[in-house]
Amino acid sequence: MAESGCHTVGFCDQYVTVNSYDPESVNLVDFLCCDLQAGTDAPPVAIYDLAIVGKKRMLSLRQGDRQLYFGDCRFELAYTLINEIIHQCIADNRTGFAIHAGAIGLEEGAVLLPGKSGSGKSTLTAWLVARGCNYLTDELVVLAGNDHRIHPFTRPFSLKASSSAVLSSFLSYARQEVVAGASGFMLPHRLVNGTFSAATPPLSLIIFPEYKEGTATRITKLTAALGCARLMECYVNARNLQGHGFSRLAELTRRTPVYQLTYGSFVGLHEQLAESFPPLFRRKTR
Amino acid sequence: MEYSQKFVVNPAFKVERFDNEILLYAVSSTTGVYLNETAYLVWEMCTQGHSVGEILTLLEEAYPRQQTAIPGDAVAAIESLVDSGALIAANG
Repeated sequence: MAESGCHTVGFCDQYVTVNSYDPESVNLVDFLCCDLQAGTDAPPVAIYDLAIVGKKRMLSLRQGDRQLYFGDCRFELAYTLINEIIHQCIADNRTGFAIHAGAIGLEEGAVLLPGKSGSGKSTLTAWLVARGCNYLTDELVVLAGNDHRIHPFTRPFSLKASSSAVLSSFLSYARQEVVAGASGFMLPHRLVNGTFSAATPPLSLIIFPEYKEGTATRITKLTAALGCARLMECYVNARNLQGHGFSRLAELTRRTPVYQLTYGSFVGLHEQLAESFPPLFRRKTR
Repeated sequence: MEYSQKFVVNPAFKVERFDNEILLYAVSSTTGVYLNETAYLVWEMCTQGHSVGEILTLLEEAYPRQQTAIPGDAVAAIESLVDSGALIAANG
Protein backbone atom coordinates (compact mmCIF):
# COMPACT_ATOMS: atom_id res chain seq x y z
CA MET A 1 0.00 0.00 0.00
CA ALA A 2 1.42 3.38 -1.05
CA GLU A 3 2.43 5.65 1.85
CA SER A 4 1.65 8.76 -0.18
CA GLY A 5 0.41 9.66 -3.61
CA CYS A 6 0.14 12.32 -6.25
CA HIS A 7 -2.80 11.82 -8.59
CA THR A 8 -3.26 14.16 -11.54
CA VAL A 9 -6.66 13.37 -12.93
CA GLY A 10 -9.42 15.11 -14.79
CA PHE A 11 -11.99 15.30 -17.47
CA CYS A 12 -12.23 16.84 -20.94
CA ASP A 13 -8.60 17.96 -20.86
CA GLN A 14 -8.83 19.85 -17.58
CA TYR A 15 -6.85 18.31 -14.75
CA VAL A 16 -6.37 18.68 -11.02
CA THR A 17 -3.67 17.25 -8.79
CA VAL A 18 -4.56 15.58 -5.52
CA ASN A 19 -1.67 15.00 -3.12
CA SER A 20 -2.34 12.45 -0.43
CA TYR A 21 -0.07 11.89 2.54
CA ASP A 22 -1.05 8.56 4.06
CA PRO A 23 -2.26 5.18 2.79
CA GLU A 24 -5.90 5.78 3.70
CA SER A 25 -5.98 9.03 1.73
CA VAL A 26 -4.27 7.34 -1.22
CA ASN A 27 -6.95 4.65 -1.16
CA LEU A 28 -9.75 7.20 -1.06
CA VAL A 29 -8.39 9.09 -4.06
CA ASP A 30 -7.98 5.78 -5.93
CA PHE A 31 -11.57 4.92 -5.07
CA LEU A 32 -12.89 8.24 -6.36
CA CYS A 33 -10.70 8.86 -9.37
CA CYS A 34 -9.68 5.50 -10.80
CA ASP A 35 -11.82 5.99 -13.93
CA LEU A 36 -10.94 9.62 -14.62
CA GLN A 37 -8.42 10.59 -17.28
CA ALA A 38 -4.83 10.59 -16.12
CA GLY A 39 -3.20 13.98 -16.39
CA THR A 40 -0.71 15.21 -18.93
CA ASP A 41 2.31 17.44 -18.49
CA ALA A 42 0.06 20.49 -18.65
CA PRO A 43 -0.20 22.31 -15.32
CA PRO A 44 -3.26 21.35 -13.26
CA VAL A 45 -6.03 23.90 -12.78
CA ALA A 46 -6.02 23.22 -9.03
CA ILE A 47 -3.98 21.35 -6.44
CA TYR A 48 -5.54 19.65 -3.41
CA ASP A 49 -3.92 18.20 -0.32
CA LEU A 50 -5.62 15.33 1.45
CA ALA A 51 -4.35 14.02 4.77
CA ILE A 52 -5.24 12.48 8.08
CA VAL A 53 -4.10 14.77 10.86
CA GLY A 54 -3.78 14.79 14.64
CA LYS A 55 -4.26 12.18 17.32
CA LYS A 56 -7.95 11.98 16.50
CA ARG A 57 -7.06 11.18 12.89
CA MET A 58 -9.25 13.85 11.41
CA LEU A 59 -9.64 14.06 7.65
CA SER A 60 -8.38 17.24 6.06
CA LEU A 61 -8.87 18.51 2.52
CA ARG A 62 -7.18 21.74 1.54
CA GLN A 63 -6.65 23.77 -1.61
CA GLY A 64 -3.78 26.07 -0.74
CA ASP A 65 -5.04 28.23 2.11
CA ARG A 66 -8.62 27.09 1.75
CA GLN A 67 -9.74 24.41 4.19
CA LEU A 68 -12.43 22.61 2.18
CA TYR A 69 -13.15 19.87 4.68
CA PHE A 70 -12.05 19.01 8.20
CA GLY A 71 -13.86 16.29 10.06
CA ASP A 72 -14.23 12.58 10.55
CA CYS A 73 -16.63 11.58 7.78
CA ARG A 74 -15.03 9.91 4.76
CA PHE A 75 -18.19 10.33 2.73
CA GLU A 76 -18.40 14.09 3.32
CA LEU A 77 -14.75 14.44 2.38
CA ALA A 78 -15.16 12.29 -0.74
CA TYR A 79 -18.29 14.20 -1.74
CA THR A 80 -16.51 17.53 -1.31
CA LEU A 81 -13.44 16.42 -3.25
CA ILE A 82 -15.32 14.92 -6.20
CA ASN A 83 -17.51 18.00 -6.52
CA GLU A 84 -14.39 20.19 -6.45
CA ILE A 85 -12.89 18.14 -9.27
CA ILE A 86 -16.09 18.41 -11.30
CA HIS A 87 -16.24 22.17 -10.75
CA GLN A 88 -12.61 22.70 -11.75
CA CYS A 89 -12.94 20.57 -14.87
CA ILE A 90 -16.13 22.27 -16.05
CA ALA A 91 -15.62 25.89 -15.00
CA ASP A 92 -13.84 26.86 -18.23
CA ASN A 93 -14.91 23.97 -20.41
CA ARG A 94 -15.79 25.06 -23.95
CA THR A 95 -15.57 21.70 -25.69
CA GLY A 96 -19.28 20.93 -25.57
CA PHE A 97 -22.45 20.92 -23.48
CA ALA A 98 -21.85 19.96 -19.86
CA ILE A 99 -25.08 18.36 -18.72
CA HIS A 100 -26.03 17.27 -15.22
CA ALA A 101 -27.06 13.72 -16.09
CA GLY A 102 -26.58 10.03 -15.60
CA ALA A 103 -25.64 8.03 -18.68
CA ILE A 104 -25.45 4.41 -19.75
CA GLY A 105 -24.01 2.75 -22.82
CA LEU A 106 -25.69 0.08 -24.91
CA GLU A 107 -24.60 -1.67 -28.09
CA GLU A 108 -26.71 0.67 -30.19
CA GLY A 109 -25.70 3.91 -28.51
CA ALA A 110 -25.96 5.78 -25.26
CA VAL A 111 -28.87 6.94 -23.16
CA LEU A 112 -28.70 10.24 -21.30
CA LEU A 113 -30.67 10.56 -18.04
CA PRO A 114 -30.62 14.27 -17.20
CA GLY A 115 -32.05 15.56 -13.97
CA LYS A 116 -31.58 17.82 -11.05
CA SER A 117 -30.47 16.51 -7.69
CA GLY A 118 -33.17 14.28 -6.21
CA SER A 119 -34.76 13.31 -9.51
CA GLY A 120 -33.67 9.70 -9.06
CA LYS A 121 -31.16 9.65 -11.89
CA SER A 122 -28.38 7.96 -9.89
CA THR A 123 -30.67 5.20 -8.63
CA LEU A 124 -32.12 4.61 -12.09
CA THR A 125 -28.64 4.59 -13.59
CA ALA A 126 -27.55 2.02 -10.98
CA TRP A 127 -30.57 -0.14 -11.73
CA LEU A 128 -29.88 -0.08 -15.47
CA VAL A 129 -26.20 -0.87 -14.90
CA ALA A 130 -27.18 -3.76 -12.62
CA ARG A 131 -29.24 -5.08 -15.53
CA GLY A 132 -26.23 -5.18 -17.84
CA CYS A 133 -25.91 -1.68 -19.28
CA ASN A 134 -22.42 -0.20 -19.41
CA TYR A 135 -21.89 2.44 -16.73
CA LEU A 136 -20.81 5.84 -17.95
CA THR A 137 -21.70 8.27 -15.15
CA ASP A 138 -24.34 9.11 -12.58
CA GLU A 139 -23.57 12.83 -12.51
CA LEU A 140 -22.17 14.67 -15.49
CA VAL A 141 -21.44 14.37 -19.19
CA VAL A 142 -20.02 16.63 -21.83
CA LEU A 143 -21.70 16.23 -25.21
CA ALA A 144 -19.13 17.10 -27.85
CA GLY A 145 -18.64 16.86 -31.58
CA ASN A 146 -21.13 16.81 -34.43
CA ASP A 147 -22.42 13.39 -33.42
CA HIS A 148 -22.77 14.52 -29.80
CA ARG A 149 -20.58 11.87 -28.28
CA ILE A 150 -20.99 11.41 -24.57
CA HIS A 151 -17.85 12.13 -22.57
CA PRO A 152 -18.78 10.87 -19.12
CA PHE A 153 -17.40 11.93 -15.77
CA THR A 154 -17.04 8.38 -14.47
CA ARG A 155 -17.00 8.22 -10.69
CA PRO A 156 -18.42 5.83 -8.06
CA PHE A 157 -22.19 6.01 -7.70
CA SER A 158 -23.07 8.76 -5.24
CA LEU A 159 -26.45 8.12 -3.64
CA LYS A 160 -28.56 9.73 -0.99
CA ALA A 161 -29.05 7.75 2.22
CA SER A 162 -32.75 7.50 1.38
CA SER A 163 -31.86 5.55 -1.79
CA SER A 164 -30.43 2.60 0.10
CA ALA A 165 -33.78 0.88 0.57
CA VAL A 166 -34.59 1.13 -3.13
CA LEU A 167 -31.09 0.05 -4.06
CA SER A 168 -31.26 -3.00 -1.83
CA SER A 169 -34.27 -4.20 -3.83
CA PHE A 170 -31.95 -5.09 -6.71
CA LEU A 171 -28.44 -5.06 -5.29
CA SER A 172 -26.65 -6.50 -2.29
CA TYR A 173 -23.33 -5.21 -1.02
CA ALA A 174 -21.37 -5.19 2.21
CA ARG A 175 -21.18 -1.99 4.22
CA GLN A 176 -17.39 -2.03 4.15
CA GLU A 177 -17.51 -1.86 0.34
CA VAL A 178 -19.05 1.60 0.31
CA VAL A 179 -17.97 5.00 1.60
CA ALA A 180 -20.93 6.01 3.72
CA GLY A 181 -22.04 8.96 5.80
CA ALA A 182 -25.25 10.17 7.39
CA SER A 183 -26.48 11.93 4.24
CA GLY A 184 -25.38 9.48 1.59
CA PHE A 185 -22.97 6.88 0.35
CA MET A 186 -20.68 6.12 -2.55
CA LEU A 187 -20.70 2.75 -4.20
CA PRO A 188 -18.07 1.46 -6.64
CA HIS A 189 -19.80 0.92 -9.98
CA ARG A 190 -17.92 -2.36 -10.45
CA LEU A 191 -19.89 -3.76 -7.52
CA VAL A 192 -23.06 -3.07 -9.48
CA ASN A 193 -21.70 -4.52 -12.72
CA GLY A 194 -18.21 -5.98 -12.93
CA THR A 195 -18.09 -5.57 -16.70
CA PHE A 196 -17.00 -2.04 -17.49
CA SER A 197 -15.33 -0.46 -20.46
CA ALA A 198 -14.52 3.22 -20.70
CA ALA A 199 -16.29 4.64 -23.72
CA THR A 200 -17.48 7.84 -25.40
CA PRO A 201 -20.51 6.55 -27.33
CA PRO A 202 -22.80 8.69 -29.50
CA LEU A 203 -26.02 9.92 -27.95
CA SER A 204 -29.07 7.90 -29.01
CA LEU A 205 -31.81 8.77 -26.57
CA ILE A 206 -32.62 11.24 -23.79
CA ILE A 207 -34.86 10.18 -20.91
CA PHE A 208 -35.73 12.58 -18.09
CA PRO A 209 -36.30 10.40 -15.03
CA GLU A 210 -38.64 11.38 -12.24
CA TYR A 211 -39.03 9.14 -9.23
CA LYS A 212 -42.39 9.49 -7.47
CA GLU A 213 -43.03 6.91 -4.82
CA GLY A 214 -46.21 4.95 -5.39
CA THR A 215 -46.90 6.16 -8.93
CA ALA A 216 -47.34 3.88 -11.92
CA THR A 217 -44.64 3.86 -14.56
CA ARG A 218 -45.34 6.29 -17.37
CA ILE A 219 -43.20 6.98 -20.42
CA THR A 220 -44.12 10.14 -22.33
CA LYS A 221 -42.60 11.48 -25.52
CA LEU A 222 -41.57 15.11 -25.24
CA THR A 223 -41.50 17.50 -28.16
CA ALA A 224 -38.11 18.78 -29.25
CA ALA A 225 -38.93 22.22 -27.85
CA LEU A 226 -39.95 20.90 -24.47
CA GLY A 227 -36.95 18.56 -24.45
CA CYS A 228 -34.66 21.50 -25.15
CA ALA A 229 -36.29 23.57 -22.39
CA ARG A 230 -35.85 20.71 -19.92
CA LEU A 231 -32.26 20.09 -21.01
CA MET A 232 -31.40 23.73 -20.44
CA GLU A 233 -32.36 23.29 -16.79
CA CYS A 234 -29.57 20.70 -16.48
CA TYR A 235 -27.01 22.55 -18.58
CA VAL A 236 -24.09 23.70 -16.44
CA ASN A 237 -21.55 25.48 -18.67
CA ALA A 238 -23.86 27.68 -20.75
CA ARG A 239 -21.91 30.84 -20.03
CA ASN A 240 -18.80 29.36 -21.70
CA LEU A 241 -20.46 28.93 -25.10
CA GLN A 242 -21.43 31.50 -27.72
CA GLY A 243 -25.08 32.45 -27.29
CA HIS A 244 -25.04 29.98 -24.40
CA GLY A 245 -25.13 27.21 -27.01
CA PHE A 246 -28.89 27.67 -27.26
CA SER A 247 -29.21 27.04 -31.01
CA ARG A 248 -26.90 24.03 -30.91
CA LEU A 249 -28.79 22.53 -27.99
CA ALA A 250 -32.05 23.02 -29.90
CA GLU A 251 -30.51 21.23 -32.87
CA LEU A 252 -29.50 18.36 -30.59
CA THR A 253 -33.07 17.85 -29.33
CA ARG A 254 -34.44 18.02 -32.88
CA ARG A 255 -32.18 15.10 -33.79
CA THR A 256 -32.50 13.04 -30.61
CA PRO A 257 -35.69 11.45 -29.25
CA VAL A 258 -36.59 12.84 -25.82
CA TYR A 259 -38.84 11.16 -23.25
CA GLN A 260 -40.05 11.67 -19.71
CA LEU A 261 -40.04 8.59 -17.48
CA THR A 262 -42.07 8.78 -14.29
CA TYR A 263 -41.67 5.74 -12.09
CA GLY A 264 -42.47 4.64 -8.58
CA SER A 265 -40.78 1.25 -8.53
CA PHE A 266 -38.64 -0.98 -10.70
CA VAL A 267 -41.29 -3.67 -10.99
CA GLY A 268 -42.12 -4.07 -14.67
CA LEU A 269 -39.89 -1.16 -15.65
CA HIS A 270 -37.61 -3.24 -17.84
CA GLU A 271 -40.59 -4.54 -19.81
CA GLN A 272 -41.89 -1.03 -20.37
CA LEU A 273 -38.49 0.26 -21.47
CA ALA A 274 -38.08 -2.70 -23.82
CA GLU A 275 -41.52 -2.03 -25.27
CA SER A 276 -40.88 1.69 -25.74
CA PHE A 277 -37.28 1.44 -26.95
CA PRO A 278 -36.83 -2.07 -28.38
CA PRO A 279 -33.57 -1.54 -30.28
CA LEU A 280 -31.88 -0.15 -27.20
CA PHE A 281 -33.15 -2.17 -24.29
CA ARG A 282 -34.32 -5.59 -25.45
CA ARG A 283 -31.11 -7.32 -26.37
CA LYS A 284 -28.57 -5.89 -24.00
CA THR A 285 -30.33 -5.95 -20.66
CA ARG A 286 -30.86 -9.20 -18.83
CA MET B 1 -55.98 43.96 -19.91
CA GLU B 2 -57.01 46.59 -22.47
CA TYR B 3 -58.05 45.12 -25.81
CA SER B 4 -56.34 47.99 -27.65
CA GLN B 5 -53.02 47.16 -26.00
CA LYS B 6 -50.22 46.03 -28.28
CA PHE B 7 -47.05 44.23 -27.32
CA VAL B 8 -43.66 43.94 -28.98
CA VAL B 9 -41.18 41.13 -28.60
CA ASN B 10 -38.15 41.71 -26.43
CA PRO B 11 -35.14 41.69 -28.79
CA ALA B 12 -32.93 40.27 -26.04
CA PHE B 13 -34.63 36.92 -26.49
CA LYS B 14 -33.26 34.52 -29.08
CA VAL B 15 -35.92 32.49 -30.86
CA GLU B 16 -35.79 28.80 -31.77
CA ARG B 17 -38.72 27.62 -33.83
CA PHE B 18 -39.83 24.01 -33.68
CA ASP B 19 -42.85 22.50 -35.49
CA ASN B 20 -45.70 24.08 -33.51
CA GLU B 21 -43.73 25.47 -30.62
CA ILE B 22 -41.17 28.08 -29.83
CA LEU B 23 -38.40 28.34 -27.30
CA LEU B 24 -37.17 31.75 -26.27
CA TYR B 25 -33.91 32.37 -24.49
CA ALA B 26 -32.35 35.53 -23.10
CA VAL B 27 -28.60 35.19 -22.74
CA SER B 28 -28.33 38.24 -20.49
CA SER B 29 -30.71 36.87 -17.87
CA THR B 30 -30.31 33.14 -18.70
CA THR B 31 -34.08 32.97 -18.92
CA GLY B 32 -35.72 30.30 -21.07
CA VAL B 33 -39.38 30.41 -22.02
CA TYR B 34 -41.26 27.51 -23.58
CA LEU B 35 -44.26 28.47 -25.73
CA ASN B 36 -46.98 25.92 -26.34
CA GLU B 37 -49.17 26.07 -29.43
CA THR B 38 -51.46 28.80 -28.05
CA ALA B 39 -48.59 30.92 -26.78
CA TYR B 40 -46.82 30.38 -30.10
CA LEU B 41 -49.80 31.81 -32.00
CA VAL B 42 -50.05 34.75 -29.62
CA TRP B 43 -46.35 35.41 -29.99
CA GLU B 44 -46.58 35.32 -33.80
CA MET B 45 -49.49 37.77 -33.79
CA CYS B 46 -47.66 40.12 -31.46
CA THR B 47 -44.70 40.11 -33.85
CA GLN B 48 -47.17 41.13 -36.60
CA GLY B 49 -48.30 44.15 -34.57
CA HIS B 50 -51.79 42.98 -33.58
CA SER B 51 -53.52 44.31 -30.47
CA VAL B 52 -54.96 42.05 -27.79
CA GLY B 53 -58.48 42.50 -29.21
CA GLU B 54 -57.31 41.68 -32.73
CA ILE B 55 -55.49 38.59 -31.46
CA LEU B 56 -58.63 37.32 -29.74
CA THR B 57 -60.75 37.94 -32.84
CA LEU B 58 -58.28 36.17 -35.11
CA LEU B 59 -58.05 33.18 -32.77
CA GLU B 60 -61.84 32.93 -32.42
CA GLU B 61 -62.21 32.99 -36.21
CA ALA B 62 -59.55 30.33 -36.61
CA TYR B 63 -60.92 28.09 -33.83
CA PRO B 64 -64.70 28.68 -33.67
CA ARG B 65 -65.31 25.58 -31.52
CA GLN B 66 -63.03 26.92 -28.80
CA GLN B 67 -64.47 30.42 -28.67
CA THR B 68 -65.28 30.24 -24.96
CA ALA B 69 -61.79 29.12 -23.94
CA ILE B 70 -59.81 31.41 -26.23
CA PRO B 71 -60.03 34.73 -24.34
CA GLY B 72 -58.82 33.20 -21.08
CA ASP B 73 -56.08 31.08 -22.70
CA ALA B 74 -54.79 33.88 -24.91
CA VAL B 75 -54.76 36.53 -22.16
CA ALA B 76 -53.03 34.05 -19.81
CA ALA B 77 -50.41 33.39 -22.50
CA ILE B 78 -49.81 37.12 -22.99
CA GLU B 79 -49.53 37.72 -19.25
CA SER B 80 -47.09 34.83 -18.92
CA LEU B 81 -44.96 36.18 -21.77
CA VAL B 82 -45.00 39.67 -20.22
CA ASP B 83 -44.07 38.27 -16.79
CA SER B 84 -41.09 36.43 -18.27
CA GLY B 85 -39.96 39.58 -20.07
CA ALA B 86 -40.41 38.10 -23.53
CA LEU B 87 -43.14 40.61 -24.47
CA ILE B 88 -43.07 44.33 -23.71
CA ALA B 89 -46.07 46.68 -23.81
CA ALA B 90 -45.74 48.70 -27.04
CA ASN B 91 -46.69 51.96 -25.39
CA GLY B 92 -45.54 50.95 -21.92
